[in-house]
Amino acid sequence: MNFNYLDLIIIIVYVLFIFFAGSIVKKYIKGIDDYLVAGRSMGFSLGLISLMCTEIGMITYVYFAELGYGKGLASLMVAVPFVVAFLFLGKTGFVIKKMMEMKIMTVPEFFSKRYSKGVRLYLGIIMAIGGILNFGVFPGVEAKFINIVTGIPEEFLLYTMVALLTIVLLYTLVGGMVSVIVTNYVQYALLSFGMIIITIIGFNAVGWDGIMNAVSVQLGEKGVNPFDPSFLDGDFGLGFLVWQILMQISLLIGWQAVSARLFASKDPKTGQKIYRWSALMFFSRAILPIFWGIIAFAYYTKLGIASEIQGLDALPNLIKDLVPHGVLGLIFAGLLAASMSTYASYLLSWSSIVSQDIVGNLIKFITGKELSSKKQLQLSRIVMAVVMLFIIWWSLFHKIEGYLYFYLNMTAMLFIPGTLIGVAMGVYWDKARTLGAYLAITFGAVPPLLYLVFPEEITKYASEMGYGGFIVALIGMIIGSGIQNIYNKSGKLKETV
Amino acid sequence: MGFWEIIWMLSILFAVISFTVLSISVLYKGYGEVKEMLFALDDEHQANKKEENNNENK
Repeated sequence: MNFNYLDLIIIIVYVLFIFFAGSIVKKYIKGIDDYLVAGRSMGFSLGLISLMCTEIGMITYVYFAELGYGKGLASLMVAVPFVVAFLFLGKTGFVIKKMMEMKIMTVPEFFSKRYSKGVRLYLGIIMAIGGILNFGVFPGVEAKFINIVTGIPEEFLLYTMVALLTIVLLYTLVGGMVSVIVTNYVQYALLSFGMIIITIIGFNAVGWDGIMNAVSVQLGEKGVNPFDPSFLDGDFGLGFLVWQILMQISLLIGWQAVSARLFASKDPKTGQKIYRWSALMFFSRAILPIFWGIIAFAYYTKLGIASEIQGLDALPNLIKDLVPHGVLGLIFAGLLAASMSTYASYLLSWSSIVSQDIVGNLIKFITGKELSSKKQLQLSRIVMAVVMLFIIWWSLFHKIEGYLYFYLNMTAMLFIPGTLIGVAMGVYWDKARTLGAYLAITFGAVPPLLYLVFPEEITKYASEMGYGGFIVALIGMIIGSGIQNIYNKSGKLKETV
Repeated sequence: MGFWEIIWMLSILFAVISFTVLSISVLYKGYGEVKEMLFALDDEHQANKKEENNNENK
């Protein structure tokens, strides 16, 4: 073990405290509204904290650090699309204002109100597949991280992850979104402390000159200039920026774990304010872990072993090698905090899609009746347990090809283009129709599907596959709506299939 | 120092400072909001209970 007693005591106290804090809020849960969106009572600061906790996990650190380790300072460009997307939505309220006014709990619910129940079911299925495949690699990647930092033998890793996930599952199961928000508060204090300390300790070990030497000597101009060889052909050039800006805007609209924060906000004004300020937070969320990857690259280049360490293992090795005992316990508690908060939110989000938009919708479709709030609550809890079992199984058997960042992007892309086009056109284009929504969702899923099935052949076309998804989704919407409008001149807004 | 080196150095510095300041600020204000949220949910809970009791009495 790499921990001493002090480290262990800090970690055990943290885990027990979180479990206790997450469980005692059960008394506040009376119905599905409280469970999924905390009775829509979340204020600005809490919303910002909760959003950050959801979207910062150990896996976030790992994939950003992997980019920094492999592509140097140039990869810091990845932070820019987050800022653009958050500021755009926070300032204009594009689509999100309308969604918040509709008082929905999940994104597919919008499709049911604007198009038809069938589209909601269809999108719910694709969203659940994409979201759970995305979520499904978290335990595997994080188990390896924990293995390197803690020194827990690999044969015990599965048990460690199951224990960690069970704790998260138990408090999320009983307290839903209220548990998630309350525990997020404590978790954010630890994770933000950890992020600042890792940056200071890491930078202190290599210095700016050490970083510049390693990057410019080992990676050349490409490691510093994101547009090398040109703005059009660079790894982080025009194609990448267009894709990422479109994707981040779509994720902020259609990624249930994020949009659930909007739906839980007190009012649309608070929701927009959370997004505006998130621009600054998400800038740091990308810059700091990428910078740790660059620090790791400089540090291991100095030791002459950079080529022996894989990108995904760079950050845990750096933490293990540089952080002193006592502080290591706090940092690790911060890392666990980041992970547990993400698990809690993602379990709640993806199970809400399955329970509300797929199973609940199917039951309503067949029986013609809506489930009672109590039954919806039971259903959500059962689905959550099933989702957890699935992600443990998936993470044991799935091997990721290429950069983890792009795998995660592409699993999200399975439903993101169709969602953005469906929602945006649904809000702003009167002639958008059900067939258009079906085709937008289907066409938009094709390019990322190609990437996921043939990762080795298509990996160099990641950007083209990325923005291509949005273009074909838009084409699908126009063609589908056009056809339906021709056959249905009456142009009813609400359709039945 | 080249153009991109300066840009990245400033970006990192800005990220560290803004993250620290904003984190302290939201944690400070968030504490009050946690209490407020639980109070609101509890209030609603009590009101619902009262209503249920009234209905039973009727």
